[in-house]
Amino acid sequence: MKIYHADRTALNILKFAIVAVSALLDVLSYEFIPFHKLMLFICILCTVLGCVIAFIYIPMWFTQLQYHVSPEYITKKSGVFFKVEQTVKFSSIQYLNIITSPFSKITGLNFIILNVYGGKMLLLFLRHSDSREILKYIGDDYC
Amino acid sequence: MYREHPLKILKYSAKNIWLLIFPLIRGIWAMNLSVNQLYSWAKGAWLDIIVVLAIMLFGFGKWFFSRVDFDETSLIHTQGIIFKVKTVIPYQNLASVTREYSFYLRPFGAVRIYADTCSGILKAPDMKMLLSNKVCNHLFKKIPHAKYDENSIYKHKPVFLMIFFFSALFSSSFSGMVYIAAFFIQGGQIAKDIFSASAAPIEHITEEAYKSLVVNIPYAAVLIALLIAVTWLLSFFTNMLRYAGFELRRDKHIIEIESGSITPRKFRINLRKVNYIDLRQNLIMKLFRVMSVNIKCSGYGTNSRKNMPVLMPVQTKKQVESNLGKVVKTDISFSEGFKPELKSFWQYIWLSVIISVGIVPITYILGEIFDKFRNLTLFVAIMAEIPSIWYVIINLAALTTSRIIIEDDNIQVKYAKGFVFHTVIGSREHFIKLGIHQTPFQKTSGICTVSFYFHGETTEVHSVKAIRTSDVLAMNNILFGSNKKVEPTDFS
Repeated sequence: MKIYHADRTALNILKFAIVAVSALLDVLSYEFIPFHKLMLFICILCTVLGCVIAFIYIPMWFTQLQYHVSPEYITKKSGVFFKVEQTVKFSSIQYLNIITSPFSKITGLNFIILNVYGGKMLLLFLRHSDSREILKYIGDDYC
Repeated sequence: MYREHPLKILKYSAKNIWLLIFPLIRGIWAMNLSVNQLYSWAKGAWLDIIVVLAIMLFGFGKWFFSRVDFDETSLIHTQGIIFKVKTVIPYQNLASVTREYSFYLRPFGAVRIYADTCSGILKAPDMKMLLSNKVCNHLFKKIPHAKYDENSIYKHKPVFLMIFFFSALFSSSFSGMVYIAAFFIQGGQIAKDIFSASAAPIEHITEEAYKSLVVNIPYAAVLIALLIAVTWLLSFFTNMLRYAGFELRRDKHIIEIESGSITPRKFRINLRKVNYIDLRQNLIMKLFRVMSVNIKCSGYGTNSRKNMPVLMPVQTKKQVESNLGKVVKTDISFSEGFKPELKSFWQYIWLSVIISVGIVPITYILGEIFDKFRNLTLFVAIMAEIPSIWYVIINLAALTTSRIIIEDDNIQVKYAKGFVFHTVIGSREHFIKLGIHQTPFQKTSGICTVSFYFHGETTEVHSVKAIRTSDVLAMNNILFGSNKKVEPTDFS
């Protein structure tokens, strides 16, 4: 059994993206909302929410995200407040979607969707080498 | 590595491109062809032209980066310009592959391919591609395929009359309405104009029919009747076109089906991936001992816009007995099995009886409130009463014919849903769940409703009502080999 974790580089990219979005919302509210108090409220709300999501929730979620891979099955563990554990047998996989981003070897933005009987499992933010290894576990057909 | 057909660029280009292309054409059409005019037009419409070009360029980029590969074991489709999405389907997991030769794609040598596996929670195909005929032929050389002519284990080509009967039996006004609705939604203003033009003769015919009637039937009623007839005919002709030239061939592991005249479709179905067989009949078919053999397999008849999942359109009971084993390696059983308790007939007919009885007071009340439309409400009530009574008869027939037979590897469930009688035959390998439900009324009579669930992209329940609790326990022991006492779900 081998345990894989989500890539920390992807975490930093997500943090940066969330902070950028909240800053953009702040600027937009400053420019377009004529009521000072409402503008101030929205700015504070966006900043606080952005910081909480980027620096508390997402890092916690990344810490919890684990993939336990054995030769026969894969178990995904995730969730901050509600823990979710999902197991899929490799033999039940019907087909795969492999999603890669530009510079995926350094960004960690690699995703695999396992389509199985009656549902699917999402493997998120994998290191490039980890995603290759997991695909080898799943079967030669997918490498 | 192959690319999709270049026509796919149009599909990849945003849908709204047409909004810009038509003004563009109109602009070119309206002006006199001279260099000066062209220059002044381009000066005014430069932004539109750039947007159209950008959309086309985006479509071209998506097409350029969309690649199709067939290696020794898998079918691979890669899409996306920035984020690459690679879909990998091993050939052995394919449940069905469909080739669709649309009439407007044939002149360009293009064919649509739909590949489906047993996974997924939606009825949409797992892989959709637009390929050239050449690439399509390469693909079909790779995937397991049916051998032709003398190598086929079984061949079936129904005569034209059978297709005619099948189309008539399975056509409905509702389907016709759906086609019209789809036409309106997709056709927009042009469709509305066409319909307004074609509605005028219908109105004229209605007026003529109304004048020639001896009996006093309201004008609105005649219009409704005509509308139902027209939509039914539309559904009938659509079915005729869809199933014209229907042909089935079975190899050792594959069933190949071809059908359709304007848009021919070829289906290749992996026999191992057929979840169950469904013999469908309506009351008339039941009386004449004929049935339509359907199958449940991902990708075949699961999309509402494509064919029904029919394997043999219209077959007599004797033909089914002799041919079913040859097509799907499954035989129909005629043993007694577990039958519903006849004393509990109310379980079957309560809803239909309430509907048919309830129509009378509702008609009376509506007639009192809308006195002006008394004749119309009476007509509608009579029209509604006919299917209601028909529904009572169907449910009574279902009471006597429903049963569950469990023999060796096969599970056979005979029941009625709506106006259709089903005989579902599935193997134990594809059987997944047995549901037992009991209402307070059923509890007093010692009966249950038993539901069978088989593999499938969507959850479909096959339920038989009023089965004795002791029979359910016996069934449980046969299916799961346990003597554990089963407690039905109590809804009291």
